[in-house]
Amino acid sequence: MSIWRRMLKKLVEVPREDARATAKTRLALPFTLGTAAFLMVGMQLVVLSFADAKVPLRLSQQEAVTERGKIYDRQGRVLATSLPAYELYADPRTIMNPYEVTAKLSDLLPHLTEEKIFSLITRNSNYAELSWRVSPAVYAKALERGIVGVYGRKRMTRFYPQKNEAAHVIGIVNKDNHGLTGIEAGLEDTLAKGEDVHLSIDIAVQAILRQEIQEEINNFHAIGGAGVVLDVQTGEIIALASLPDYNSNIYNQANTDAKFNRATKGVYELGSTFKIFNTAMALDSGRFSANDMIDVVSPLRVNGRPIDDFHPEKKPLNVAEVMIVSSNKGSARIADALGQEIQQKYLTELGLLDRLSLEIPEVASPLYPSRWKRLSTMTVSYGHGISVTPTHLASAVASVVGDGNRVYPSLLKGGLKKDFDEQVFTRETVNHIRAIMRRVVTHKRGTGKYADISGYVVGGKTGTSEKIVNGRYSKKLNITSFVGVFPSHDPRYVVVVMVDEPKGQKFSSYYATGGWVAAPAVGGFIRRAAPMLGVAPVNEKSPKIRPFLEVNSPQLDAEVQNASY
Amino acid sequence: MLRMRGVISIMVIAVGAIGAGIGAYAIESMIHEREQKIRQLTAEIIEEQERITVLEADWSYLTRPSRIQSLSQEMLSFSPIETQRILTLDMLDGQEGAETERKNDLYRIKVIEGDG
Repeated sequence: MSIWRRMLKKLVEVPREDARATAKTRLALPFTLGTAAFLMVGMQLVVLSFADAKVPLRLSQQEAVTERGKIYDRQGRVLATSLPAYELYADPRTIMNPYEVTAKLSDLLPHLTEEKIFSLITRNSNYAELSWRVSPAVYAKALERGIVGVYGRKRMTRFYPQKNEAAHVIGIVNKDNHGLTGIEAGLEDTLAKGEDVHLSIDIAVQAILRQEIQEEINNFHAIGGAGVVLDVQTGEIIALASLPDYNSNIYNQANTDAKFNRATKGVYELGSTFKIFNTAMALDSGRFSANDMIDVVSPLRVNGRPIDDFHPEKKPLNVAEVMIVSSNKGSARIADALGQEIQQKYLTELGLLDRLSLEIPEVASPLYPSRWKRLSTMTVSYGHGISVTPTHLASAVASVVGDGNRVYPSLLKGGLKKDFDEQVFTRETVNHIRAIMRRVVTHKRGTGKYADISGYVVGGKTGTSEKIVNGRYSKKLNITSFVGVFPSHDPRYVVVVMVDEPKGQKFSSYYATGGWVAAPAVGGFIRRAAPMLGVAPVNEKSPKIRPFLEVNSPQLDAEVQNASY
Repeated sequence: MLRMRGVISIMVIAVGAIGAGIGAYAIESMIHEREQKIRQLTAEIIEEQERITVLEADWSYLTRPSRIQSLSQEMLSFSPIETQRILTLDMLDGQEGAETERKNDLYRIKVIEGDG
């Protein structure tokens, strides 16, 4: 007999006389335990009924799917959003009468011919994609017709309500909703997390810019164009257009040329617009004053190559006048005196020698001579031999006419937050350039008259350059540009317009220059967009404004006087 | 006497236990009901959000600037405001501003007369 058996016997077998007492003690234990258990249940009930439900609700979290974030413009208008759509597919093995099904489907799928539908639904497979995206309305019709063997699968797809407007900025996604181009790609992480993005673009202003450029492209039978509108103070890009463009909702139907972003990815020799920087560095370096006389008459040859002016001058001009009449000779002589080092220092500080930094992947690096020789220094002064994007130009001009600090462009509302200012130009230089740019537009000998819009004190600079085709300058094809600022006495916005390969027309006396092609687009833009941008027209002759726009140009004034009498 | 007390206490406990059981069941079924309600509401919220997104996109599509412009050109005889007709307050006290304002008033009067 084991020890266990004996111990159990001892516990169970009790003397008869003690039986009652033993039973009582034995009952006490389960009785206490039972009472305790019920008490605990009761207490728990009381506690639960008073306690707040702090336990997270699993249910609601489970069903919340993270949808790709939306893209809004600066006024809160939707530029990109995800909408429910249906992938329509067939299971050919379950289709009994393919002729009937084809007939029922044909008007719902306008992108497919009846033959194509028939071949899809009769192929030997259990899956045939009919359309990767149909609207809920079309799907509802398909359901209504009760087509056996045709099914739909709900999926969120990207929709761009503004169609072509700002298409290059917004970009597109692939079928799996991953960003491929533009902001969709540049801010993929943010959007994929479900966070919305607010752009600096104002879609109404954008529409005006696009229209004005398109009009000049039509007028001059050009092959394309680009434009950028930049807030001088914040560097926010208010509008950015590249033409031709495409409807983002049918991106795959667009051609390569339309997909190309000329405003941020295309680099062009923007010609005389660079004289703004040349004049600014001449004044800012202290080597020149606005009244210093420059020889623009005697011939200029470097390494046997002549530098000529579009309109030859008969008398010497001062530094300001060189920019007003856009003299290549004068600019080259100024740059030659400044030297390569000063020129490169300022161009670097303006960001004109660095890759464009922007929130989209379509950006380009400038092209400039790898061996920067004396001739390069001279040609770069008038925008020859250096290629930058229109956005490079816009931000560099904003740096010159703003408060002299470098302006970094941004496509996000509010612009980039800077920790410190990088001063490039002194206040005095800034004031000089503002006044001279205004004179380019107002002076009889100036080149930007078509950009003048009364009340908005437009200033600017034209640019015309020969296009490089297969590494050679073409005598026939031009890149024309105009950079405008308004209002000149206290610039709020910079507007750059570039038109690619305009052809001279009868009405332009067969000219296809920046002044004829791009300046009117900037003028037209300012006329229509300034009220939207909150810029009020002013009286330029008022004593509050006039002193800021004075330029000493005695030689040109005398010339104009002599010509008119 | 002792036995009587025992019976009463057992009955009290039994009644308490049954009460607690019923209570627990009631609470549980209430929770279930509410969970159902939450699930239903969440589904409704998602559906509403989806509809709002669709309507927002629709609104953005219908109010796109190019469409508004073509509609306006078709149905309204509006044109961009001439800059001379936009005045700021500090232009009003100057002679020139006041003069422009007066001309505008005359223009408006003419338009009204022309209509009548």
